Amino acid sequence: MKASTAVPGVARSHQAQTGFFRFCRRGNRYLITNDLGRYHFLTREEFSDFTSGALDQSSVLYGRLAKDGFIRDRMDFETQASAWRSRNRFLWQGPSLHIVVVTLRCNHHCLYCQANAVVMKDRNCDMSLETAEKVVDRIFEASSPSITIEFQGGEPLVNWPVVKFIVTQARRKNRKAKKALWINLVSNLSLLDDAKIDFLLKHQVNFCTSLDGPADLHDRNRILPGRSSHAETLRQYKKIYRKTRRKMFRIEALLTVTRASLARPKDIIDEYVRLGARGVFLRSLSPLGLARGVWDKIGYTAEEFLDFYRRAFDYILEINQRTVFFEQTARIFLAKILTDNDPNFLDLRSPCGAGIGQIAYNFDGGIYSCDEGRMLSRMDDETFRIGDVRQGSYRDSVGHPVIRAVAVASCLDNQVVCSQCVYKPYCGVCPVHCYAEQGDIMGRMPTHTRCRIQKGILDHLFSKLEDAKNEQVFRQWLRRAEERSAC
Amino acid sequence: MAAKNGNVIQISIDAAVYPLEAIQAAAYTFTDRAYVRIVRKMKNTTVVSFKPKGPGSAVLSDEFHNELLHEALRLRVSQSNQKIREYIVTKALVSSQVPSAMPPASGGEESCPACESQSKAQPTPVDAGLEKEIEDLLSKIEKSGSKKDDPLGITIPWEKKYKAQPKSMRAEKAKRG
Repeated sequence: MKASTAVPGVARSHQAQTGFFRFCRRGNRYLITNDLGRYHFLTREEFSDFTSGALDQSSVLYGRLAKDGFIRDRMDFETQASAWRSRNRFLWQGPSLHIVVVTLRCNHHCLYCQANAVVMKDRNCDMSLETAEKVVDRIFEASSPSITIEFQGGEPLVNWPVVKFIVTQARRKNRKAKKALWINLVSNLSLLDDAKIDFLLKHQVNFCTSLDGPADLHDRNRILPGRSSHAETLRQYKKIYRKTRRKMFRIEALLTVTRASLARPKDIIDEYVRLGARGVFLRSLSPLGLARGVWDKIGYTAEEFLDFYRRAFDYILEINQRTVFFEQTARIFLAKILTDNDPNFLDLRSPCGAGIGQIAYNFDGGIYSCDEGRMLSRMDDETFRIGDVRQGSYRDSVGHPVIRAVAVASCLDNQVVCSQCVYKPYCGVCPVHCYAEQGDIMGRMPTHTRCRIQKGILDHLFSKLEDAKNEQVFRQWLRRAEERSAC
Repeated sequence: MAAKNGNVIQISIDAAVYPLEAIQAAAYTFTDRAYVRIVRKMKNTTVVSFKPKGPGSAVLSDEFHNELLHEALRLRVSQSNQKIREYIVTKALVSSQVPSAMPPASGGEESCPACESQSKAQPTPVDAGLEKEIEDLLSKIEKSGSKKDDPLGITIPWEKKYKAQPKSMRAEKAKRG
């Protein structure tokens, strides 16, 4: 065994044996990862031997490190290239997520509305049928073999005729295109009725709604004048939940964490479990739309969010002793940590999905790099506008200089801190978020809130992965993800 | 060596021991807590000054030195594996064009760790055959003419991309992604 130094191995790095790795120190152990997302926890002595080339070649550890591509002179290039290709499969596909903002009107007044929705009487903010037709045409030009059309708003159901038209038109066009077509409706559900539900289910539309926790918490964040938003949402949620059981399309709920949520992780998760949800998505607030203006009232620091996240996550692990129930951010990371199947979550890939993985279409036909770019336009900043469905071509939008700049900025190899970060194989940056928070699409990670949050979540996940029992739970979460396939 | 001037901490670093890149990278990680200035003083000395951004943001000299060691190791590992990483990514991107016979990986020349100067970290020489293969692959990509701007065909509309192909082939391609 070598004498220990502050950082073992620096002085004696043995280039012939040590393959590429990133590392960080975690207490008395080191976590190492490589480009394929393989990871190992090493003791201080093992780390010293690894970096100095002194590992016993007949040891179990050496064999494991060699198998996972950490030993330079034992690399299997075929396997490595194949795994890299699989993990970055999205690079070959093009935009698959198409966000359509059919209206900016909404019947809610949510405190954090990131879309800066307008009041119900402002009919100038509805998409016309003519624009909708051009949007669908443009969507089907995308080079991706898989298409997801996601209705956003405002509240999409306010402009029901256009929702209905796009669903029908997309299904019709797809008979010829034969792509894997998914349609999602992101809605507060309060304007649904049985006829609309029947139409949407007939056309295999997935539902996604917002649920911020128990009634008092939800209604405090999401204000529906004269009524309880929570009661309205749950009434429809339960109905759709019953009708979509055992179907490939279903209803999911999303949580937005505000300062009022921080003290109540258990209440929130219990609410989701009570409703029969498969999991919960613990999402932090973004400094976009109305949220930015009231940040001092509803916002929080990265550390405050992480404290909430860790308590919520540990409670979720307790729940998993009796039933499978996942946390979605963790599940995305875990897919990248435990498998070579990248879930193509557009904010957590390198480069990010803006323009090359997703495109957003505004009510007026404006095309944006992504939904966040479109949200920024509601703050009078058109930086991320890349075209108009009535002019130019698909190629003009996807090859737009903004898309090129965003792709370069979100490629983690170009990010000073990210390129060396132990979590690089699993992470991603959002240039719009960087721009909104720091005025620069490249971002400065040491002071970036999202970076701190993601690092904190990954720190927590890896601390849990040190216990093999937790890994079994996490693999069950991933099997749940595989249950869904294209219709 | 560290010195304090008011609330500014100045740390002198032997530039013969640590490469400038490692010093810059280590200093950058402290920019959440302090304003940083890097100055080359003499031929072999680089001085890093930290001015805390607020109370409780003090930069500890020992903490910085540990980070410096981390960055020096990262730089070394990165440099010595650069060619191999480029090879793997290039092979993945153009896998259909890559010959199946792979040359063995080179471990580079044996060297005496004690004789190595950290300040002279250089990429380990890659086996000549492997190096040539990497160059060939990169040159193939560069020579791909009209595809140069969009080698993966992301900007080509769906209909145009698959129009000339029979239906069965289009469906198959769509399935494979």
